Amino acid sequence: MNALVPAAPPLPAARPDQKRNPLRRGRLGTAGLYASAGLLVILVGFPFYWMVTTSVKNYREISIDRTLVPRAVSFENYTALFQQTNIVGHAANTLLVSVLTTLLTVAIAALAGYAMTRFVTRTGEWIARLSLFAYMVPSIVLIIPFYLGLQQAGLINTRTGLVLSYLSFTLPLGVWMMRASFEAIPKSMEEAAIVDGASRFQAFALIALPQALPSVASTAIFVFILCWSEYLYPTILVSADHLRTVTVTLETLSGGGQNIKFGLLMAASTVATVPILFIFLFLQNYLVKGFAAGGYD
Amino acid sequence: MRGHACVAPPTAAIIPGKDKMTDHSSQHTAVDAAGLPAAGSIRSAPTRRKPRWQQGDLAFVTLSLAPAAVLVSVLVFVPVAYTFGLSFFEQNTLRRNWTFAGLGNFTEIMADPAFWRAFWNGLVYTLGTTLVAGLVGLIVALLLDRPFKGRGLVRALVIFPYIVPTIIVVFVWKFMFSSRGIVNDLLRQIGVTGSGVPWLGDDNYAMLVVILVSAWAWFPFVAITLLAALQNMPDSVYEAATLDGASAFSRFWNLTLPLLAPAFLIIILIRAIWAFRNFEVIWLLTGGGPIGATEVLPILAYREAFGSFRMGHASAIAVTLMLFVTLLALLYFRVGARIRRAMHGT
Repeated sequence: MNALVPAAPPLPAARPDQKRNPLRRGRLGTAGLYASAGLLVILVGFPFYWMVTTSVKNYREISIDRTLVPRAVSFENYTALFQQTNIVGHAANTLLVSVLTTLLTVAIAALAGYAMTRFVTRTGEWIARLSLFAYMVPSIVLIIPFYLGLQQAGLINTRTGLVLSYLSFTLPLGVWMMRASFEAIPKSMEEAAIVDGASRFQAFALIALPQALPSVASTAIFVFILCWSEYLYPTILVSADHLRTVTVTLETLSGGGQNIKFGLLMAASTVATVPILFIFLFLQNYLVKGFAAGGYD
Repeated sequence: MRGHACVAPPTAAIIPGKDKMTDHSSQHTAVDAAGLPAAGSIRSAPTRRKPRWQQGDLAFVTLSLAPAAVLVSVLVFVPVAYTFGLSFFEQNTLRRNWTFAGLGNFTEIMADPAFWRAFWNGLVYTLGTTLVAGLVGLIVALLLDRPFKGRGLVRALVIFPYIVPTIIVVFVWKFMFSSRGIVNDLLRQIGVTGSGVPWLGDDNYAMLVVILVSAWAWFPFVAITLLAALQNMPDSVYEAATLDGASAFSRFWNLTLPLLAPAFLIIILIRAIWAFRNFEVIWLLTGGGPIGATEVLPILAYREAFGSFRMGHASAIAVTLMLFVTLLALLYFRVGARIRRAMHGT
């Protein structure tokens, strides 16, 4: 992470002090502490363990024997998944739409966030509140006009329509987060550069933006995850197979009432978790920082 | 996972700085009673310097704000106005005709018991998930604040449910709560039930399961943000309190909780807003069923719009939903401003 950014060193390293809450050693005891931690790990981890192991069990083990640990690893669910659905194509489409939305969001939001903290600061605060409010607007309120409007504009069943609908929640969030991060970046270096003859855009692009890069990354990651997970808009706004998103694939697989093929569904869920797992494993720091990056203000 | 981050709050702004601590005794009686200034000021009030406008700056400001302003207006505020307008019309997509209905849609939904059931279900769902996620989140934050081996790993793992797509969380739990799922197997093992309970198909249990699954997906957010607030707390206060002979419980009750309260309140409010407007979790778990037991306003509106294609009617429901969300949002901004005032003493 960039050392130039003074904002929110999110979770400081463990401190030796042990006198803060009743879960301290000696009261509950070390054993109790580790027991609670173990319980937490099971609570959080078990559903994912169950998802992955179910996906590699055969039908008998899933619905009749219901073994806790798979006796044999079987890839029949995955074979069926790749034969019956175009999940790879849908994942590629989701990736494309998500990356496009993320790039647009970050570019637009970074510029706006910068201007809001450097020029119209008073108004900027109100714009920030307004965008947070825009982010809170229930999607169900927006989906009706989107459906009717995109139909009118001939954008139903297009990637453009999908990206536009995603921007309706990513942009408000992006503006809110980017403003908070530019707020934390000192203005003195830019002022010096401008005195030395740099243009305002140069001051933004060459001085402020590099300092904000970690926050830009956090924002981008959050926006990407939101896009990847989005379910309501693609179900309503897109029906052509090549435009489907993974969430829609998952939903189609869950049909069938009482006889849902859970093995297939868990295999698809595992596939759809892969990009998130990648972010989780390799971009963890930005993720944690993102929690604090909105900067409640 | 929608609904995270707008908060991301508390670390910086909410935790009181040392300079203000003693001036606002009403807010932090416990600390003041001990007569201890908190150490480690987190953030001073922003200095608002008059910007020096250069030639070309106006163009820069306009060009940099315009794309965001135009897009957010067109994609959010115009559609909201459209839905608001549509709620005064009788409109059926299949027939494509608009008839002015005045307040007809609203009087109709007000007279509909399904609307009120959805409204109450929404309240129960909101209170339930917020309470469970809030409590579990608080406990987990306190746990993760203690040093132990492998803490970093556990903390990382806790984030995971929050970033995995909701639809996946929902399907995994749907599987686990299915009649031949692991939950029933477990209950049978320990002898609670003989035959399996059809959790999501039983109107006695469906709401409970929906609440628990949502809380599972959302408690990490509470835990991680509270943990950040906890770790920003000044150590010296605790040291002094310990020297004065305060017991661990007394320190927790009189120091930690009051200091954590503002951050907790904001986080709870945010969660409540997102619970009340939530559509996906319930829709994918139960579709609002069985027999309406988990139907909430967003689901009712969705079914009116895309099941019956009565767009005017659906819009009226969406507008009432929007009204409640706006009220909650105003409360959130209000409370946020008050907390900030108390902290910065303006």
